[in-house]
Amino acid sequence: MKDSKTCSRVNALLTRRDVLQSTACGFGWMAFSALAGAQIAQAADDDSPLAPKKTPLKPRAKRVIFLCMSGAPSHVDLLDYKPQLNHDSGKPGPRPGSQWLGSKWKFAQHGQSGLWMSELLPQLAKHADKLCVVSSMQTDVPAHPQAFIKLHTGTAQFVRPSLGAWTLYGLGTENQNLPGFVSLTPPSGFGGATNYGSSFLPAVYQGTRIGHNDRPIRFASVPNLSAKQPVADQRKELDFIQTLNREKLNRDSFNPEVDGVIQSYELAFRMQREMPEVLDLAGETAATQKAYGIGSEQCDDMGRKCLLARRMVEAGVRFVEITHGNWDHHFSLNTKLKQSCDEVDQPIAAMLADLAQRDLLKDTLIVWTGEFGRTPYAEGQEGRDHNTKAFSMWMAGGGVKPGITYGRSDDYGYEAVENPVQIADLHATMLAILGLDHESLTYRHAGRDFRLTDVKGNVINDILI
Amino acid sequence: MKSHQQMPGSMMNDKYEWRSRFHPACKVVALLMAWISSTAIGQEKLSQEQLQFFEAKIRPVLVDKCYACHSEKAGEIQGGLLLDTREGIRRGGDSGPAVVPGNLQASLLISAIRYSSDDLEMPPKDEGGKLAENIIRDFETWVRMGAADPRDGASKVVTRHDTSQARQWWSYQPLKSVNVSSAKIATQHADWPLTDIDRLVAAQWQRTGVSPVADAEPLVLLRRLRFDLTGLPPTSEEIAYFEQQWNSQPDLRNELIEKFVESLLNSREYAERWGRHWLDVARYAESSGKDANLVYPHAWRYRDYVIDAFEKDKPFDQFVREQIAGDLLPAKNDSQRADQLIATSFLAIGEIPINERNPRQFAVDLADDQIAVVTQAFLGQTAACARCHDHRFDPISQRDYTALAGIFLSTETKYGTPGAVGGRNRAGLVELPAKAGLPVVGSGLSSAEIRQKQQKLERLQQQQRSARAQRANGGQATDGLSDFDVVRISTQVSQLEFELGFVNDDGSAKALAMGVSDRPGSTPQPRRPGANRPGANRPGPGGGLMPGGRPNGPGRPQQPGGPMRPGGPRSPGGPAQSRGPMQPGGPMQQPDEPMAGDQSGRRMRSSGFESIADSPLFLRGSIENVGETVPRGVPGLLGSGTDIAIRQGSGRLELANALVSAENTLTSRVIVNRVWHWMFGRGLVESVDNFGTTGGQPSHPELLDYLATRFVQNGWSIKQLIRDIALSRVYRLSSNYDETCFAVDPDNTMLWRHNSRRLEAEEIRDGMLAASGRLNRLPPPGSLIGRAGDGPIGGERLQAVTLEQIEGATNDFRSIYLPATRSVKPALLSAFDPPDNSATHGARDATNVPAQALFMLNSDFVADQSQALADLALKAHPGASPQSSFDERLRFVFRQVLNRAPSHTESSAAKSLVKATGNSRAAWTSIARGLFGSAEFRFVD
Repeated sequence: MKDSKTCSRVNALLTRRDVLQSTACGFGWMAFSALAGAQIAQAADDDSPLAPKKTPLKPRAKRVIFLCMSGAPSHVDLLDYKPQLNHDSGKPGPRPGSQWLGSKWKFAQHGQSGLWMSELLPQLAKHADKLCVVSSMQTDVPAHPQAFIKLHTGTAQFVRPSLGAWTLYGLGTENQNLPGFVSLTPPSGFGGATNYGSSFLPAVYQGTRIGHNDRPIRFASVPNLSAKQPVADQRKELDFIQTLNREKLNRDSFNPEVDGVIQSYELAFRMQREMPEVLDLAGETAATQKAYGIGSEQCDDMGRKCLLARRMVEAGVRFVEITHGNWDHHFSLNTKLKQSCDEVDQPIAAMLADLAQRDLLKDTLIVWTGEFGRTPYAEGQEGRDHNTKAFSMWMAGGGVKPGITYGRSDDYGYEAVENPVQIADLHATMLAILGLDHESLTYRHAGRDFRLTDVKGNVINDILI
Repeated sequence: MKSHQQMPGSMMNDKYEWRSRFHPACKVVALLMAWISSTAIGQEKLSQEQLQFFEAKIRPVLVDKCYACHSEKAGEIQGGLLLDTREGIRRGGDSGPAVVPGNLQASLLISAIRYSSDDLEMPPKDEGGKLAENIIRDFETWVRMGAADPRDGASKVVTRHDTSQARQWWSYQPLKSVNVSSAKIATQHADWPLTDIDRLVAAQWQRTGVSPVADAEPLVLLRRLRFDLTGLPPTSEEIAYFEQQWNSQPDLRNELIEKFVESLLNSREYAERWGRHWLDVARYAESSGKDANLVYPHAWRYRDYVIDAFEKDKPFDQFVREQIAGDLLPAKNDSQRADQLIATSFLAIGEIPINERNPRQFAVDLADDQIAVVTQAFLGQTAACARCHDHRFDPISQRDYTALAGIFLSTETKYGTPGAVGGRNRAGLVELPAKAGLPVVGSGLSSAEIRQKQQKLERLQQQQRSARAQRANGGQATDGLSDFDVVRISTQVSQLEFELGFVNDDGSAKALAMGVSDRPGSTPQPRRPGANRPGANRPGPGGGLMPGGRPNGPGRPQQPGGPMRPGGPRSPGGPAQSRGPMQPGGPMQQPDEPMAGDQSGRRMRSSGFESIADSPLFLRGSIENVGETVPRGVPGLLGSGTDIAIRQGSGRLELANALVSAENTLTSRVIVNRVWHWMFGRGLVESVDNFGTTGGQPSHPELLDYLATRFVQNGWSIKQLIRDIALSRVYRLSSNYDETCFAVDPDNTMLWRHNSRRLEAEEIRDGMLAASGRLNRLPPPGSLIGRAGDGPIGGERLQAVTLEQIEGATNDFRSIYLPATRSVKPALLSAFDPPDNSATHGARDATNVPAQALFMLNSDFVADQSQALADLALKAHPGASPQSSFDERLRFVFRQVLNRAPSHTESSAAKSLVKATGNSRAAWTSIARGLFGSAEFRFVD
């Protein structure tokens, strides 16, 4: 039998297949995680790689909704109030030949916390006391693809597992009948599948994409979701397929791709039952749909995505990402930024309210960010260029201090000057909120332990409850 | 300023003609504009007065007040700014251009001498302080007039962007000549290599601590070769023959492989597979994408051109030349001419914002797509990054970008979209020589239809002319037409022109293609050989270039009375922009001036790119922010090593030649690396589309240069390159796992085994059709999109084709012939990462997700193929009794799908499935679906 070999093989080479086969040696998932040098997970009763796992730290949140504003929103027009910038609008800016461009929009303080927010986000402003704004974000490469990939995987230099895949690897998922990681309408450019991929992590942690390229989600579906034969017959057929797959795995002795196929079949089989229900918004009341902006011209699409996200996390999906595109306002900032804000403001606000009302917000982490920010100086007449030196993002929900602003950019919003936060810090903090230690959430590949944050990353303890 | 008329050549005529239509009060402004625009065309032609003004008012101040710190003779040049040459003053220093002709706002020099910003006051207070008011005004006048400046000469200080380090990057270095015999191969591998490729691979093993695994089993190799070379599985005859020969004649295995490779390379199936690879690189698509997403009904000709090129093994250098400048190349006959014209579709099939309101923005966006695809497809360079600023990582400056932009802005792109269905930027098509005997799309028109349409057109044109005349110069119209009516008439006119332009005089449909041509020249161009052929003098669709010729001469004024040429409408998609710069109605050279009105009476702006001209540099990429004019040309780094200036024509031919010149360090490396990637699933340089400094380094630099050099020596033959690779031993390695090597080199960078790769979407579909016996190997004529005709995809009105037609496309021919529209894809391909046709993508994604499992379990397509395969099995092995034929049937379906025999375990699993469902058609359908669904089918080892 191969099993005896398996048990003695160096831990780096363990795969799901080993674990699946390792019951003969008396090991389960616990053995896998321990042997693989992955110090994260204690065994659950199920040995599936997607089974929920105990976390090394106390989790503040159990699930994530990641709102990715692709193209990079202008922080100085939304969340980072800069009176000095407005005052000096038209004067020479920090780069040779540049001119400061003040914000066209009024800012006001909101809620008990007195958080400054622009009039472009009136609905979100009503939830100011739920938000934890980070105003000192930084990233390194001012080009969309690199920055977008870095935001999602920690590095644009190599193909690495995505944030959602790491999360799933660390936590497993609560509903074995749904994908643990779903990405709604991700771009096919900007790194494409890398942004929800699993790279060297087992393929079972890869995100499931629904729709793409910011095409309206109402046109997207999960094709071929309904079985055309009785479930029992299909199961027999599936058993045959899995026999073939295991045979191949035996012959190859190590093949993570085949392992991924095996897992994907089991998940697909179970998804047939549960996914259609989750995707069907018809069960929601008219009032709920209206609150999310579904049916309105501007908000319909984002409304659907936000409502879907709520339904998914409610059903036990661990990590849902929503991509909303078109924030790259080099030109026509005055009209286009407003348009983008109008599209997302109401749906996101409605989602926060809905989650709070269902008592889900307390252990759901909401993250809103772009891949970088925009320059406080003008590009052309009314545009802003890419800015990696400072941008703003916010978090809400489980584990983060509500109604605060962390970090500070200079008086113009050009560069972070107080408590700068790198992408690795954001990742470390997100993992910490989920009860994972970014330094010990590792996966051994090619002879060394990899982590999402590589050799970087500091948890921002000041924003954690 | 009067001396403006001294300007030589046709430019003078242009301006004279143009000016004369203006009220005298506008004369000064008009002259000023004309002068500015003339500087934008090329080298500056200065009048006496301009010179005098500069010498009297400007130069003395510069010398006296500025040169001490801002000239080449200054010790330390302040702010990187040189004011002692025209180039220096226009380019500016660290802060940007000091002088932008005609633009006071953008000219930092003006703001500096005005002391309008605390940070920038020149001359400094301690160096004499602010200039006198009258001197400042002189400078303002000078800039406003266009900053005439006779001081030729290059400015020495390079831009603040230091590219010297980036220029050391490996891909910009000349190819090294490689002496294979000096490759040091460790003794234990000495007998291993078969070919030079193997020697260069084996030379790296000892150093990196890996050793090769065993060679692949014969049937594994057969399947690999078949899929890699043709995208299809081996037939059962091939399997039987190969296996038999392999076993019976062990000494002749190399010859067997050679013969098999040869037969594959000679098949059309090879060209369909490798053509598809190139279509990924060329961002091939049959619609414009973005919000309008109008179909390109003629794009399929390019698809067929590419397939033909691979089938005939067209030398790659010629392939490059044709795609960039096929219209400018000589041709032996009509068929070659047609081929070359179609090749230029490469530049026209991009994702373009047809609905862009600003024609100037549209023109620069279109040129940007062309720069992006040319530099990335052929050179692996992301030059489009330099649109707004110097490339942040690679030694490509915004000037370089602008030099290329000049080439493409001097090119008219004919993507052929009608005006009536939502495209604001309509364009014509290229008419192919009738004698080339090419198939045509559409059925043409009857003579009655032509007559009727022509009459209607003439009536509408009449109305249009009178409407225009009444509304000219702000006059009150008395024809009772509302603005909407005028627009409607204009739309109808363009639609009719469009329809009539697609047929010959006898009503038969013309053979048309997408493509490009040079815009009309600003100076007379000699006609090229080949232009003097029948039909060459008739305007074609798009109105510009005739097949084989340079543009229609110097752009003589059209008839002043109206826009239509004598002899009826023959410029179907021919939009305003394709007519010469002499159009009555507005100064086409003058982008920022609104035209008085087009034929419809609408106010409409021209793009400003109507003839061959250099492009201004657009500061920070904004068309509002016009900087200096950059002579169009080919930047040395991207071409032959030295900058090539273009003197005549658009410069596409020069660009094409530079890409394939002997000195080019990129083109040959990029293509051999692409081919390696397509054979091994991973390039020697992993970032196949990026050879810039943010891309990767070659894992085997010597091998890469060896292959590139040999490739060029072999006449740029793709087939020879594939043959070399396919016959190497490294290609023949198994994909077996090896613990030791994996620990050292898990990504297999050192090629100690073969990479197993997931089949691409097309291979999975085609493979299933082949296995079920349903594949129609004959290419269909044209395409679904071509037959659909013009219009948008989906939508409420005027749609050419529905979303469902594309997504639900189920045909039995190969996937390369399925609709290749943007944004909407056939559902049969979408689960398995179909090509992203928004930009060059030399490497496909290969995801592994439940959606693929669902496709295999539940889709009608897989069900149909499974049933068809089951039927084949039952027919081939009817058997005396159901049980007796089980083994034969199982072997049959295994051979069809996995191209091998079943193992014992597999056989018993199948048996139990059959037992559960009976040895019936349904049971065998289930087994077939199981095989299609298996991981093994989806991967090639």
